[in-house]
Amino acid sequence: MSELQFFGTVSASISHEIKNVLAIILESSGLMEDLLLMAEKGNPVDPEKLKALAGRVKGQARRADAIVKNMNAFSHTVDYPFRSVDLGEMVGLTVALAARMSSMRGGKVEFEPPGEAVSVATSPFHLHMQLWGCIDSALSHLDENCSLRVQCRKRDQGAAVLFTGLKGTDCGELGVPPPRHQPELLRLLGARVFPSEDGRGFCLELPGEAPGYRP
Amino acid sequence: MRVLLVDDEKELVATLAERLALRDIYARWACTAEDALKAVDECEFDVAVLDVKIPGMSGLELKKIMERKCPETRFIFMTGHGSEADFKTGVAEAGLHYYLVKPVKLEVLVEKMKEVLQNEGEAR
Repeated sequence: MSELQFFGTVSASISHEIKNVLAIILESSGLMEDLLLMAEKGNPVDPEKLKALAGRVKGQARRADAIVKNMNAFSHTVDYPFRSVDLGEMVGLTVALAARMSSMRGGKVEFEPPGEAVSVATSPFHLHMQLWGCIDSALSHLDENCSLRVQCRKRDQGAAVLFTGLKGTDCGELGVPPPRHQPELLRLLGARVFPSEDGRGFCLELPGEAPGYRP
Repeated sequence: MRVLLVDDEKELVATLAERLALRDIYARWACTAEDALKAVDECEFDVAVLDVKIPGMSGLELKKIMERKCPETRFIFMTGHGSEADFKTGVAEAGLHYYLVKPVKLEVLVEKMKEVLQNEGEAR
């Protein structure tokens, strides 16, 4: 997947989610209209029902706001070729952006934010691309009835993102690094991928500063 | 008319079902393929309105399973996807008239459901 294809994939996923939100808002307001029309014809409306529908519309509007906020954050990752980022926030954003992909693949992704701030200096966009690729790959190898757990940790010379909950297998079988572009992506990030200690996942290790980083 | 609505967005299908009920159309909803197939085991539906993508399975795959269980059911597809590939696949399978892009006006959906029942065999 090229960088443009990745951007397109994420954009398409976001637009699909927003369409769903709009569809729910449209139907909920349509139902309110139906009930009010019935009231005009003498059928009383249950105020609790209207309240519930209004609450539903509000909830979906908030959902759309969160989706657009994530879209905005993702869009701005191309503002700078390299910068110092909060890895916990980056991983959290990628997990949120990949939620629909995960759901459609029948998988659940759980992110555990780190207990401390974890920073790396890297290319934000390419890190998102690598993280997305890792989630995409991991979802194909989830153990039965397991969720994909994603954690990030500070390491001596950088940081690591752990993906666990997979069927016990080796890195090669996982297809990690995944598609063709991944070796180049790993080189750009100065990252490496290797199986986790328990053999049920893999680790994406990142340097404190990506090669070529200029503050 | 008995309608089955299948979409992973619970609030969407639940609201649609309620609105159809106000129009004297019996409607059940399901958010997964598994729940949809359970519903089909319990009731014979005249029309099934399926999202093209459902968790774990495509709408087209679900249609094929449902057709084996209930050959008389007619199908309409709904999608929020805008890709040309999805559109071509959906139209090839469902026919142009029975492939709708969300958000769909309820009146349009009801009209299509009546149409698909009248045009027996066209949606197959």
